[in-house]
Amino acid sequence: MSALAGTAELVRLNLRRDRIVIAVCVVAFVAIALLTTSSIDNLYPTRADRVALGATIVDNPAISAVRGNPRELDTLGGLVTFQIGVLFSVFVALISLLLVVRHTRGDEEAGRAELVLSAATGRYAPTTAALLVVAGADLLIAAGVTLGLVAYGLPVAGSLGLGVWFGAVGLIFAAVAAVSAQLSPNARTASGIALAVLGASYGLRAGGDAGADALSWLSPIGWAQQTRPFADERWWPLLPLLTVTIALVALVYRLLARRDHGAGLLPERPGPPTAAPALGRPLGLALRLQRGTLIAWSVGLGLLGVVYGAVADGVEDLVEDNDQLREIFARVGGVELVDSFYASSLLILALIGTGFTIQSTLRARGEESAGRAAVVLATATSRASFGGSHLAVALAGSALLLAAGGVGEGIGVLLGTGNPGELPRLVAASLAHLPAMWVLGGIAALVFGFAPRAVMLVWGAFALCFFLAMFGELLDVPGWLIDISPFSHIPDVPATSLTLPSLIVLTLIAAALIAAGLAAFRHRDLATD
Amino acid sequence: MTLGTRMDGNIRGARGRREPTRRWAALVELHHSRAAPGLARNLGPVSAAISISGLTKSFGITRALDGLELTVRGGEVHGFLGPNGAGKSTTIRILLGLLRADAGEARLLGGDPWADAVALHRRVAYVPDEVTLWPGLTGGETIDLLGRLRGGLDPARRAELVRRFELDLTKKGRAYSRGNRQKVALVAALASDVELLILDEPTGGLDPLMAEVFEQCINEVRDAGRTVLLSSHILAEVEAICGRVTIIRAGKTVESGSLAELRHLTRTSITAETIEPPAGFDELEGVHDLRVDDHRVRFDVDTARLDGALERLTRLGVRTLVSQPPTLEELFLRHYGDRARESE
Repeated sequence: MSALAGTAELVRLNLRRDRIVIAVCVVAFVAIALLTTSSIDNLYPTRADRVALGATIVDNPAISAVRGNPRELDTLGGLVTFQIGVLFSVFVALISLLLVVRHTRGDEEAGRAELVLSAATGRYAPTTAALLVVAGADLLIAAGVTLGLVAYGLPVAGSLGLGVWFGAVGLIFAAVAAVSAQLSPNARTASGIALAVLGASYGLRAGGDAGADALSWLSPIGWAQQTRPFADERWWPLLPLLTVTIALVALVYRLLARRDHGAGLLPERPGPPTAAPALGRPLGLALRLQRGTLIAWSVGLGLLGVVYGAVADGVEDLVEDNDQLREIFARVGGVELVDSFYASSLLILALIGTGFTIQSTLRARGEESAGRAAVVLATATSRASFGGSHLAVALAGSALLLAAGGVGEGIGVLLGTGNPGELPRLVAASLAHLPAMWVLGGIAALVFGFAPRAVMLVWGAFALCFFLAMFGELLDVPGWLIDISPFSHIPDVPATSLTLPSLIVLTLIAAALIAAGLAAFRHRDLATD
Repeated sequence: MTLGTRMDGNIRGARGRREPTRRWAALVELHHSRAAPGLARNLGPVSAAISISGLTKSFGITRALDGLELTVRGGEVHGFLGPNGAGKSTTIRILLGLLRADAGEARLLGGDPWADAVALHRRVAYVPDEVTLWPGLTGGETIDLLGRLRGGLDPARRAELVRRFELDLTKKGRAYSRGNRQKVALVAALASDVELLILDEPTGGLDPLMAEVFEQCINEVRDAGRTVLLSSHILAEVEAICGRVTIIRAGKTVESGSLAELRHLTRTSITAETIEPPAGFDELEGVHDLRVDDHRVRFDVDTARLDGALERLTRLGVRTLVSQPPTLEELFLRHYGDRARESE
């Protein structure tokens, strides 16, 4: 078929471009899966240990809303699934959708695809090659996890179930990204649309796992979850997953056949011929450039907050109905169970929001490598003012995000219980995470200042914080390592009272990192790629 | 200055010159029909807008600049020529305080380009070699933004330039073609009220009509007493609008002078059809690359020896005569052609 001519060459090209990313991802997924398995196995070797652990997990429904409904927590496989199932789903989906957009709309927007299509290459070849490579990566992750768990000694059916779960989620989000890449001529917007779908899938599943089962059935992650690895494996939920994936891919080819190269389906509207007064200062520019991202993140975190808030109501019922839980609750003593739920859900919101803090800080680097920073700095704009503007948006935007998350959770509680009184508390507790987010922003500023070509390292620091918050205690990570994460020093508000000293110290650290980063930026060469 | 001896050596070493392309030749003709551009202005203000000496810059093991010299006098349009990778953009980036020099001195409008960047940039406008615009901002917004960041924009001049460059201001940055992106940056620079324009290969994406508009604009800028540093490898363009040029290669300055000084050392191409068979041209001094084909003769002659060659032609009886003025292309090819061969 001539529309597919050149696909094999493009597959090789994509593999050449992504070999490191794909290899690192596959190895990391398999390694973390095995690490989790062996840690749980070592820490909770007997069934009795695992039952006790399971009870403490059920005791914290925030984790349940974050990680999915626990099943068969008395088995090693069940605990592993509970620990990594939903989280890995999100990360596999994330990688799949980013890679697909990068090789479809990203290349098209950059003009590389035009060069490729001018050769003896079919109209469908770039998209097909992108989907094939990402599908291959997803299948590698699925196979790696399955084989790893089987090699560890877990039941074959359950291991396969969990592996297939990840692979299927990766595939469907690759297809979602391929569709979103047809909609907008802008790669950033295309990724944003696919990310919104991922966020919605996660949120719907969280709502479903919190009690409203029907919601789970609207989410691809919910379908995958229904395969119930290590419990009573069911394979039929894979059917809707694969059907929708195939339908989405078919839609992609229909859209590809209709649209012009370089164009999207969403029309490009003409804009104003003159600039608004605000767009005349570096801060105005930074705000304008990041406005869309900031709004999208705020809405996303707000909605996730609503889901968590609405779930909170069920926590009380859970305790009322469960003697064992009531006992544990009494033993913890004094702490409102619902408050500990608020604390952990707000931590999750803050961790997710930190993605914005870093992305927004690194926007300065993006402007630099695209060559636009040179144009701005050739005007009467100082380095401090250029870098500071993007940082200001990042730092203030982080506060806005936390407020949105807190307000959302407050509204969720209001919807669930009719009680509006929690809202101010939740907003205040949410904002307590701000210094930790700022420290990550400070790390991003530092790397931007000293090693602009190594800014991807900042995402490693982000992943480490996420990992420590999610797995740290469970995997019995040494205390000093847990203490590396600034989030470890944020009190569990509103479950515990606010302690100002740690927040002040974190803020000072953030300020020092930012000052050092900006100073380094002022003294270095501009580095365009 | 050792210009003369160096050029002599190059001229003798030159072989196998290429024909200038048709388009260049046409443009050159066009400009020679006008008043000689720029030359008289060399006697204008002599305070240096840019002065660079011994400038050195390395990126890792790559030495981008190796003792570069450059002087741009106030009020002149100065051509900054060199092949790709010669160090033009690096020099400009140092002048703008985007890069820091390893050694040597650079002064911009009397100030230090690194330390006084912000203050100096109120008096300077810059067009980069590859214009990238903000994908979500319209052309109009970008022009206003850059103008305001520089400290002000003349709205009347903005409107006039937009009209002359036939620019659609309502398109988003990502929707512009390369030429239109360049027009956005040019309008923003030309509409700013600045003393010095630094233009890094600004016409690469412009069509010939728009290149013409650009040349008119630069002439107006010069008439208004402003200074321009124009980096280029389009020779016809530099020849048409620059009074003085500096030629660099591999991070070093190889020539610097007025067009008149440089042109004096170049050759003119003559193609003629004569009534009597052409003979005896090989005996003439300063004639190179001679080709005789029946009644047609074609040769290059050192411009200083043009008189003798024409005398010989008229004695044979001229039927047709095509004379191509010396272009900087010749100079270029001779410099880089020879030295590249030497270094191989």
